[in-house]
Amino acid sequence: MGRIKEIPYHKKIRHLIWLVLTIFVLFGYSLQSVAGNAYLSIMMQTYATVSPPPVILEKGNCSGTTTVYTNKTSAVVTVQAPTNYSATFNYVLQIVNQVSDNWTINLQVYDNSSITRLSNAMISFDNGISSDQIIVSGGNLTKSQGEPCTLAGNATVNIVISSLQAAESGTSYLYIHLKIRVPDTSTYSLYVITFEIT
Amino acid sequence: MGMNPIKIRSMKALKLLGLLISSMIIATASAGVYYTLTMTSTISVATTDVRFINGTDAQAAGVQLGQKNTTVTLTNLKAYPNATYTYTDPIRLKNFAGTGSYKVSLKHVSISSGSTQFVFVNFTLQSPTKISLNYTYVGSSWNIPPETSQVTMNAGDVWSIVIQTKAKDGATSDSVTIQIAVDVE
Repeated sequence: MGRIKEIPYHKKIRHLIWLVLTIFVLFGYSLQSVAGNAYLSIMMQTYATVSPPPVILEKGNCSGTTTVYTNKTSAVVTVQAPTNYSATFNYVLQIVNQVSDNWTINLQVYDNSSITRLSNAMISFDNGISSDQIIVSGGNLTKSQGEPCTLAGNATVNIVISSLQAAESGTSYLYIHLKIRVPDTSTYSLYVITFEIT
Repeated sequence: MGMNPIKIRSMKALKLLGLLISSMIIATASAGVYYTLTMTSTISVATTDVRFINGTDAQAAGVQLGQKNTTVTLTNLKAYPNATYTYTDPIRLKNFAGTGSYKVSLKHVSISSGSTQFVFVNFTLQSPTKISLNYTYVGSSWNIPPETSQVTMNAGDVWSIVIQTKAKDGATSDSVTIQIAVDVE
């Protein structure tokens, strides 16, 4: 019958010593691999205040429904497009400069829906400025952004809709930004004006 | 009667183990002490290569550059009710280094309390991959944005920081002070 050889006690301890030494060496190396990144911060502090708008929107004086919302920085204009003749709405909205500073203004379409039914539509600035800003022709948006115009200090500019005619019934929407820019800068505010054309 | 030789060896091994553990404890403690004693630091005043410079809208935004252009304060930002106001180029970040690049990120530092009339204040670095800190006022508190990812800014690169503001419908007066950090690594 075979006999199992027993490992002597002192050899067990020797093995234990070698194990402890190995762990110690490995632990030591792992400590040496710790590293960090250096960076610096440069600081920017901003102070923003809520101010009343220097330029506001006011209702026009023609038929159709114009709603100017709180603070007068957004509006919805609702007009009806005839199918058998073209109509002019002079004027549906006013842009009123309440301060003596000049501004540069223009209209920009940022979205639209169901405009294919529109034969023609033109949205223009009037009263001191004469500029066709937005044009729809044959159901297509042929001019989506107007040229920048100067809104003089304490002046008022009218928004006119002309040549408005639809090929069929329905409701079209033109979602427009009135961009009001500080002259000679790229600082500007955007007012939302929605044109609902029934 | 003499001791068993195996027992003698075991005793020796145990003593050796004890000595080893003691030496390890001493070595660890000593190493800690030596680290402290031998570490020397040389701190010199240096300027960072990435600094602020004025943008074309600096005057409109009330930009005040600090010393060495490593700090900037914008004192005249406006927010109008129910209208988005955009400063396209109030302040720029430039890497003045002749060679080499840095990693840049935006990080929130602080925001004043008490403001309730804002919709948002956004900061967007116009790097090729844009990074933004967007502060939005939701319910009754500001949502603080997390630190942005890093973008690589090469030597000579100049990027503007676009700022957009919007106040609530019906807002008449309010103010907020926001401090952000541009981390340069």
